[in-house]
Amino acid sequence: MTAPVIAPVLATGDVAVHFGGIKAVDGIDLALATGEILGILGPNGSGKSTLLAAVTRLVPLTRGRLTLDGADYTTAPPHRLARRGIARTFQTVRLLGDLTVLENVQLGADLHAGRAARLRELVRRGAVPEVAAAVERTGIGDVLDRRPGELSYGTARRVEIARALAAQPRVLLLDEPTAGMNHSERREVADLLRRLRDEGLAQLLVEHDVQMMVDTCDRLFAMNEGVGIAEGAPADVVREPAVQRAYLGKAAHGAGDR
Amino acid sequence: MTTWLSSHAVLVQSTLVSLLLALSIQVPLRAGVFSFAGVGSYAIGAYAAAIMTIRLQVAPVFAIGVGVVIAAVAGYLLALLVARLAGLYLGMATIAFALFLGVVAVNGGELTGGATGLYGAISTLTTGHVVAITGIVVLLLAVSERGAFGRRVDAVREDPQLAVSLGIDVGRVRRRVFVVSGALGACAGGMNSLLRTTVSPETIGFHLVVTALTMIIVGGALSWAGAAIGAVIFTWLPTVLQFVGDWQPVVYGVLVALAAVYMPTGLLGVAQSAWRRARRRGLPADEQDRPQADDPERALAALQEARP
Amino acid sequence: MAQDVLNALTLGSLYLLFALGMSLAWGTIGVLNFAHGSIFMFSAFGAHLAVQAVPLPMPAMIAIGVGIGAVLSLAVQVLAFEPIQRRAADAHTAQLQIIVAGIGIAGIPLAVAQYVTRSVPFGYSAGTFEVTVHDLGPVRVTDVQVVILVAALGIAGLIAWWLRAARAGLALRAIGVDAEVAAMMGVDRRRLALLTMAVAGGLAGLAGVLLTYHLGSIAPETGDAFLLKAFAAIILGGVGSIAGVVIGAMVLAGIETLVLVTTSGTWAPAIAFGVLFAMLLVRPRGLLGRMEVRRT
Repeated sequence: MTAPVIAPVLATGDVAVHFGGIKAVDGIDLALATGEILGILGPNGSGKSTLLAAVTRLVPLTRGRLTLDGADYTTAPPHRLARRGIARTFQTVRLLGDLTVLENVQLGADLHAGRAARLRELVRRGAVPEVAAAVERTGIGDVLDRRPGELSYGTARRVEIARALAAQPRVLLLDEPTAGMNHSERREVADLLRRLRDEGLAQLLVEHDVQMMVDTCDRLFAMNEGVGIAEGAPADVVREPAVQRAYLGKAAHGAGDR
Repeated sequence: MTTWLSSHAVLVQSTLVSLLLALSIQVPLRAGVFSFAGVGSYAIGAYAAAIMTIRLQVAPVFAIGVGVVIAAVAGYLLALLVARLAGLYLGMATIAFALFLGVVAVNGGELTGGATGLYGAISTLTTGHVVAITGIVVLLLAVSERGAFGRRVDAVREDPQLAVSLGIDVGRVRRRVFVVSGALGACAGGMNSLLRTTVSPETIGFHLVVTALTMIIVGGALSWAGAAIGAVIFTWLPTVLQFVGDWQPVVYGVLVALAAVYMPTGLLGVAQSAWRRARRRGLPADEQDRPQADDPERALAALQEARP
Repeated sequence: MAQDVLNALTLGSLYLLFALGMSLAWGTIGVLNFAHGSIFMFSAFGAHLAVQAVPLPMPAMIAIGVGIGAVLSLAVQVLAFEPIQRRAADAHTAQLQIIVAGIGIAGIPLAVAQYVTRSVPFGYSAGTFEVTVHDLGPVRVTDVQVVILVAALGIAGLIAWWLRAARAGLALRAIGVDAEVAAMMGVDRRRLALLTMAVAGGLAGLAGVLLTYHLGSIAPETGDAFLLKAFAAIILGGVGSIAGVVIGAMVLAGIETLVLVTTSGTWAPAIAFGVLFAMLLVRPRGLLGRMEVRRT
């Protein structure tokens, strides 16, 4: 008897993005399953950010398909993705400086707030349960009244993730969440992502730091120059000669020799 | 109250009309849309109300209403046309649109009264009506600035790409803002026409842009309250500054210049920052910097009540 | 017909002189000075006050106008625009605030002039200059027109050459392309910015005095009208291109003259607005614009 095939939460089928003559992404097949963290590994210019932009519909596809829970969304307008369950963070922390941390997180939940909930908020000024849950999962309860400008970088990142969680997404896409962080901050974020994974949230993680990827991800997908060059268990992928060549030996030495 | 109202009727009327005009530019600005189409809508509303009243003798509500509807539709169409413009270029395009309407008014022959304009738009519009209409408008805008809707507009203004990723249809917000701006401007213009019983090409034009901007800059651009502060100051300033006499425009110019340089968030912004600083200082000294209780639920509830 | 062409060229040259300053400042240091129109008018007005006191010849009047324009423009830059740039959160906000500040500041010279003249147009009839007309076959040319044409095209050419050839000119273009890199390469941004604003103001003053001589008199409100035409000309030709401003100014003047001659002319003011609107929708880069139009 064959094992039942579990449909991936998020999948890309032969996705390509060409800008004129430049083939930023050229034929990528990804499948992200529930409760797993899939890491996209690649040097600068490999096309990872373009791939993320394609998956979030910020750039049009030259060819290929995008599906979420089996449903095709290749031509959906970008603002509809949040409602379908795709949430993302950006390379730079993008919080609204004029709003408090709490209000920033509420922005994520606003999407699903029905008319009743909105009226209730105006009258009673209470936050919806999704917000409280997101705040608790990311541990930012003590800075709710602050403004983003007053936060440390690591805390700001957690607020961003809380905002994404408040939308109760099916998939969370993270674009270099630990860029510019020190080691302990990086550890904090990695722990948080793993905790979220354990709670069942599927994640697509684009990162530059190889060690962090190896420690955090369940699977890795390595790409270079717009195409995939390796896929599988993190430890195996980083040892692949093609991957090591792509990183010109430096990062591979750091990650592979453990 | 009513005696004060009747003796200062003209000033009150002016303030409220100016407020609506200022709001027609402040509302888009709050959403990050640098549009002056509200001035053009003022022209549409002013002439529509006058024409309807003079030729068809309809009730003031209808006269103004017709202008509002026309301007709202025009606003929507304009939004579609300028969808790809933003910032300075959007501002210029909308100013061009507004001033173009002024030339149309001059060339409108008998319908618009040409260069002299229209006279005798006598109606039953009272100060009370104006107060009521403005009150409703302000109430609706105040509500729209809070809660989820207010946050959505903030997101569209500060970071449209982020807004999209949060599920906000930025294009639709921008189009709606153009429609609201049109309605507000036309309402202001229509009311003014019926209160003064006259409209002419001189009453509309670039100086309206200057007036509206002045009120918003000095009062504060991010909220209806700022526009209100600005409208009150600039309508009542001549009364207060009577001794300044003919030099009023110079004083205005200097005030605006100073505000633009040193108080870009307007008086409202300055007041809000001061309030926030005072609140922080008001907390017991040890709690000012230390993080609050560890229980997230309780902290959430406590902070909800403490928010200004 | 030939007379109309000459009139259009003259008008275009006046637009050009006025718009050159704006385009220069905007295309290089990113300052869009909405008070430019007011400065233009007030420089002419200042010359008027001078000539009421002392009968002066045209060159002196021009010098006064240029001087007042340069000083006013510098004052606005130093007292308003520089502080805004220092305090603003980012370049984009600074640009918008500068525009708003310019609009506000523009009201001051306007109000002063209106107060003094009681809105009666002012001219230079008290001066020593007398207009002489030359009949050249089918056209009549005044010496003022000759000065305008020569000045406008000559100065435009000079500036275009300077931007390409002179060290300071290249530095200014460098600022226009990438201010940070320019600063790192040792370009004194502040000094160049002040120079640019002074030149822009001087050009406005020159345009103002020449226009007054050409028309006989101007009103305090004339500045605002010119402001919007300058926009139309700059957008039409393309921001950041001197040749573009020349073409934009001439084309705009040409269309306006055509409308004035063939119809009753009451639609003429709308042409600038129409051109501006249409260009922004269809090709905001302008005909020759090289600068990437930051649409936000």
